[in-house]
Amino acid sequence: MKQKSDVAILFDVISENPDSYQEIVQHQEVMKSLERWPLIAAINQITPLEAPVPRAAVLISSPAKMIRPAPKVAVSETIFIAEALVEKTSIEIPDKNNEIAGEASSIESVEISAKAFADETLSTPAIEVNEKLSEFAFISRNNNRAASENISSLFERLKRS
Amino acid sequence: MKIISVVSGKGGVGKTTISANLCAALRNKGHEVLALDFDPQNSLRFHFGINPSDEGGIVSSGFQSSRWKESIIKSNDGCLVLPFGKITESERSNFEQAIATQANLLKEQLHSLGLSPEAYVVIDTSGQLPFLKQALSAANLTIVVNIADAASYTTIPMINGAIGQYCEGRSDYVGSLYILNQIDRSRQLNEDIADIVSMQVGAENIALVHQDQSIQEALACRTNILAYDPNCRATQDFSDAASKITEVMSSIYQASAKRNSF
Repeated sequence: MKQKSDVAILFDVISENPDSYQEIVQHQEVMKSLERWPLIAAINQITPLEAPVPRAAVLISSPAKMIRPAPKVAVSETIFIAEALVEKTSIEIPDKNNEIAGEASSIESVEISAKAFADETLSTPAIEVNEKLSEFAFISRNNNRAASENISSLFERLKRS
Repeated sequence: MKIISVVSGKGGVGKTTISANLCAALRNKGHEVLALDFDPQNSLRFHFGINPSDEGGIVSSGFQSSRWKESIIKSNDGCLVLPFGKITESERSNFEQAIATQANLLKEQLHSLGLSPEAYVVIDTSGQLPFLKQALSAANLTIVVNIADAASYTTIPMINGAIGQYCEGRSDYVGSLYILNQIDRSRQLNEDIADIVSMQVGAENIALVHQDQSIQEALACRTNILAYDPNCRATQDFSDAASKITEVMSSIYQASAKRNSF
């Protein structure tokens, strides 16, 4: 039987949707995998990666399908990534309260061109990447800082609750 | 009746082998299973030890449900098998015309067989479009079979598009399970594609079948992998995949039964 991780349970405790929790390390690994195989990366450019909706969530909402496009509920995690970036870049992010309310799309909020990312981070600049891959790159580059801020932020919210 | 359509966007990925051994794994867990060969290659029967000289099947039976029932063969492992049947070119042409013009022909035929609500029907589906349409239109669950290589990976968007068109939105459709076949963990590409697909579709919606010579040997011995080598890696893989299938299908079935009880 599949067990929830500590972080997922923590999300539960602070009344956040645990489904929004995603493994940053897994994203990093996938990013590396895509860098190794240009054709696979190109296919993903046409059909962007999709974050899964856990089966249990789908069973409750609808029996129609197990797989869904990236859910907008993944805002809480993306907020901390954006916050971590703001100090080092001039990227504008939308109002945090709006994101929590689910009004804004977390990915579009961070403006960065795929081309810029490709030039900066890939050893093979000819590869173009989509916005999703840009997001993964940001996660990769800021992983340590973002991860620590995320946990800190969670504990702050836990205290408040 | 729970209808599982085994599909892929590319030939040669082991669809028939996956179909047959999943049937065996589901049967091994105590379920009633009907294996339906919906592919003119007519090769599913070989995995069940059916005599090669037995050439009956769904096409030669026409579209009368009583004749489909007569064509069902019980295999040694207890699965019910409905072969495609050996056919002439003109029979094949007539059959393809019929399935191209009658949208839910396969679904209607299956429901007329009178199987129990708990029974699993596993359809080994041809890659030809009329066959694919019929199988997807009937499916409660689709199993998308791929090899972890680039050629196979490039077909995933296409097959997902077909699933989107013919399955999603139907209230009786559960979703897709992705099986990566012939996985060799020593190969970086295999490992990477497994990671990528796992993240794309969710770890709970993917099953791996590792490369295992026992699978080919089982077929050569006219049996399935579970009977041939109960302790090999592939047997464990098929058993795990069958568990995923039964878990999700029983959840849906119970949810549906609850809804109907109100």
